[in-house]
Amino acid sequence: MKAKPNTSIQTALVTGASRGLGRALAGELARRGVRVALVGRDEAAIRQAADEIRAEGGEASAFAVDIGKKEQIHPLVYRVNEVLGAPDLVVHNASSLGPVPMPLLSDLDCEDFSEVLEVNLLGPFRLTKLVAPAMALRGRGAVVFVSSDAATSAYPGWGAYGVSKAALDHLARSFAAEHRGSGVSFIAIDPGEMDTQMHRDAMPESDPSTLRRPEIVAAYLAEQLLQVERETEARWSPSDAELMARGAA
Amino acid sequence: MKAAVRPPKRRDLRRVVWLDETGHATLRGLDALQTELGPGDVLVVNDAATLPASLVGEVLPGSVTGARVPLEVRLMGSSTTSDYEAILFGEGSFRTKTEDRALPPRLAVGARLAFGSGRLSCRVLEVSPSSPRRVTLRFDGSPEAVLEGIFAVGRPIQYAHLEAPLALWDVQTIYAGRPWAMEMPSAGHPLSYETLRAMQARGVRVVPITVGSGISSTGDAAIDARLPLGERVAISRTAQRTIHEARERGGRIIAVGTSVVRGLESYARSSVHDEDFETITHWLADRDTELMLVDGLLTGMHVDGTSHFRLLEAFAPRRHLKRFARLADALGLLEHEFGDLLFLPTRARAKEARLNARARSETMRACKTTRSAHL
Repeated sequence: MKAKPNTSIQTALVTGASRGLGRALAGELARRGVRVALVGRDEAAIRQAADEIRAEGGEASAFAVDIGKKEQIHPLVYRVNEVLGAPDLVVHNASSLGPVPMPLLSDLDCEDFSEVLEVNLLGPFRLTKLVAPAMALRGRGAVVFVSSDAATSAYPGWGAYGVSKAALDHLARSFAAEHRGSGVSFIAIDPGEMDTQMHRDAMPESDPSTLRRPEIVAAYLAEQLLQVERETEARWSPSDAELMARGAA
Repeated sequence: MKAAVRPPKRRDLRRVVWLDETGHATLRGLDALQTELGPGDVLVVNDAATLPASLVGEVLPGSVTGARVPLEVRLMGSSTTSDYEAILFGEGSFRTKTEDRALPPRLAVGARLAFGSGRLSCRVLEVSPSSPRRVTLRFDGSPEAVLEGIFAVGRPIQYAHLEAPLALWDVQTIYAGRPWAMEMPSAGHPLSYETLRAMQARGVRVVPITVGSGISSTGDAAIDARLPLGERVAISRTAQRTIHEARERGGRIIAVGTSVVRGLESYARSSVHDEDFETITHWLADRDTELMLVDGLLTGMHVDGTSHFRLLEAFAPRRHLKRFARLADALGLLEHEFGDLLFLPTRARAKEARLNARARSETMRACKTTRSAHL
């Protein structure tokens, strides 16, 4: 049964929504009455995800878009505005690890480094530019940047990804500084290590039982975001205890 | 007047000919918005995104005898996401003067067109009796699929005077949302985030409405005579409330662009009250129009003879407008997209200001002691 939205978030846009945290978050938001624009590169996967959400009674639309391609950002935002409404929440979740197995920096081609920055940093920058001013005119909205502890700790082999996430954290802070008093929230989140395809690509030898379930993280995140009532600048790093207390269905 | 040949490096580096309510014109920068407008005033902007309204495609066999015939379709206006008014062009590029381009094929009702190797397709619903180049098209597929197709195969309408073709991002305001405009609502283009922040810090409310601004000229006199077409308008209840509250407190309602004037004045003349307003407006202004809601207009420089210019006559007499045009030309200001701006108060406000000024000077003459009379 679809819950009526009791918050000011009516429309959300989630990137990297065909699998992992993005897919789970799209589902959790839709379950709570939010109309969700699912964005991903793989058209078949993103359509299937939207179909699944609609089959559960949620409102969702699929947009096959590559966040790393600058010419695809404007059409995406305008299409979402027409099909679902002006986004009140944008979640920059789509992320590239770069080549896998992940090389050390001195073995990384600069073109691969640039590609990681295009997807993980420039894409979110471009997309934020296209939604934040309209949010500021409405006096409300939230932009969420999915980050990592690789942004704050230097793990060998994680250089390109870690650098892009460190920069993304600062992008969030910088946007927040420029939007003080606008009513728009800028929130970074470190979701911790999750059992996803991305994690398997990066660390195939990991034991899945030691990893967080993306559905639990997504439920926590959806709850927290729908409770944000005033302009917030934050970096969330939920502990296992916090996830268990809030996120359980 | 010279036209701007490229988008500016910074969108807010424009000049504004500011006509104040006493009839005095000064040349300002965009920061005039911060000094001339104040707490309680409202700036109403058009948040329509610009569609890439030029579609290169072909007529499918069976619609015209023989093989597929290439053509260009320029969308002029829309009534829904799937239905558009359009003008047809033959083969050729925007760099070729319209009158020198090949004529498009004559189409019949029911003719089918395809674009981008079938990515987008449509059929002809109507052909205008005034010109075989004017058609009404219905695109195939769901509204979502139609939009996806137009964005995939379309290019922004280009202008021959520009140095290089425009990209989609060149023809958008920073707050653009619903893709209803066939041509950029250009008066809003200079408004950078920095400018809007400064307005809000000053206490000026910036309120968006959505107006599907149509093409202002096609190069075909017969078709241009019937412009502008009906335009989609959406004004939310929230926007209405903000505007009415500001008016009640004596604030001014300033329209950014002529499309906003058409949107607000259509709403003012409707019976809609305190609910979302959606319509397709055919309302036009001319020198006899008494504006009901708008107190001032920030607009691009427009050439005499277009319907935009006729709308400006609702704000100032033709002789004043011609004087501004001469002044702007002499100052080397630029017209057209990415050009400089003009600010006009309404005739009503200008008249009120003149009457008040006259009353003030008569009062001062009558009194022995000087007393200041504040408006």
